[in-house]
Amino acid sequence: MQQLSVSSLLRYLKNRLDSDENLQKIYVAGEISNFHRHFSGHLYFTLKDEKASVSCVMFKSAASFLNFDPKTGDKVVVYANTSLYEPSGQLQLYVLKMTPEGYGDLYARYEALKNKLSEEGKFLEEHKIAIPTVYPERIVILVGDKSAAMSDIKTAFARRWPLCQTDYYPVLVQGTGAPEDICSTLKKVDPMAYDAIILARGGGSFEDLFCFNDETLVNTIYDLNTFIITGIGHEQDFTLADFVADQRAATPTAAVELITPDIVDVIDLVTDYESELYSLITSILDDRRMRYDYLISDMLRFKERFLGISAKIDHQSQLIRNSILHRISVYAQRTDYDISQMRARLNFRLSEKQLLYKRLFTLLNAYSSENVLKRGYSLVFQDGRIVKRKKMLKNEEFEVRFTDGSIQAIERDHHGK
Amino acid sequence: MANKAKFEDQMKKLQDIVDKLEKEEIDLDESIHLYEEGLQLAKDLKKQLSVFEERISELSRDEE
Repeated sequence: MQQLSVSSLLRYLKNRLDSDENLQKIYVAGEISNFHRHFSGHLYFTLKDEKASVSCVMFKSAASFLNFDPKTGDKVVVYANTSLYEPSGQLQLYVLKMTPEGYGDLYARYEALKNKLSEEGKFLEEHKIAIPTVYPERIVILVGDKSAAMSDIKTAFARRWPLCQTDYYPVLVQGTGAPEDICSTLKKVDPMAYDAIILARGGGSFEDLFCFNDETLVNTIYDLNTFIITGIGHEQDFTLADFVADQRAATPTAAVELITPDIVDVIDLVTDYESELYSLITSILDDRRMRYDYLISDMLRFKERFLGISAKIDHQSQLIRNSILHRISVYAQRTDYDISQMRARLNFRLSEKQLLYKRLFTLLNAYSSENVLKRGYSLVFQDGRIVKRKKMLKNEEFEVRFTDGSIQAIERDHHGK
Repeated sequence: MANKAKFEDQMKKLQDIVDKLEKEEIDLDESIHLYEEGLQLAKDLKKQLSVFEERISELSRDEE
């Protein structure tokens, strides 16, 4: 026979219980007895009906979410896991949530519907649409008439984004008939091309907000073509409408804040754009001016080069002119020289002729003196020249020429001068 | 679907103009033209906003 220790028996049993799905995450209804709040914050009590009882523990972490103050005698529904407390071998419910009876019924319905819709994919992110504009101009608001939520929303719009046209459609937000009212209003405003729909309600109890856990409402919201944001209750309240909406805000005011810009920021942005525009156009102008300056200096450089070339041309032409003038003057000089040469030559010729004439003339004279001699006259010469008068004789020696010859004569009676 | 918001269009256009002036190489004539257009847009937008801004400051004065 196999022997077991107590520990291993209880361990085995505990494992069996813990792994049995039918015993985990179950709703159990009953009446509280022996309620005890431990100083640590954990709650210990017994849950019983007419025939049986089971001990329960609710740890502080779960108990802090309780919406009511449980006490002995309360009829409640607990949402719990079944397990075994080994030290005492006691069967125990580890309570995760607890609601008063009736309320618990609602909660169970909520959970069941949530699971169903979730399985249908109604809450998937991929079905959600984004708000079409950062600067919405027409928004429709479904909210309780003259409610605190309505005035919160009005204040939020006036403060943040007063440019927006806001149309308020009062709807029932509590009790029977509320889901139908909300659904028909949603269907009416959906084709009206609003930028967004706000579905809002102020805080309330779980039961107060329960109309937002309606299956028809969830399906209607799911089918909307317009962006919808919910702002229902407070931070901790999650309704099924919140799950299916395109966006969920914790409160009505938060819904407005999530889908509108702050006018102060927008004014700042436009002012920034304005000054950016100015600095951009200034820098563009500076850039163009700089390019213009470059261009001008390029042109000036070109002009200088051009002027340089033209100066060079001037210089060259001057050189050419000078050289031509020079050549002309050279030619002129040469011509002058030629002329003088010609003149000299001419003079030379002239003097030659003159000499010839002189000689001929002398000859002529000579011939004429020969004729004289022939006629019987004689001529007296001294030093080759004819002595025409006695006075011309320089000394006593002279020559006398006759026609047939000459003699040397000496004057006997020479007295001199 | 909601219609395209006019204010948003204007903001977008203003932003586009700033981007264009910032990034693209455009001739002077066009950049001056864009500058004028952008400035006019900014002016219009601020005018729309300032009406409400004044109202807000009035409201907050009333609250005091």
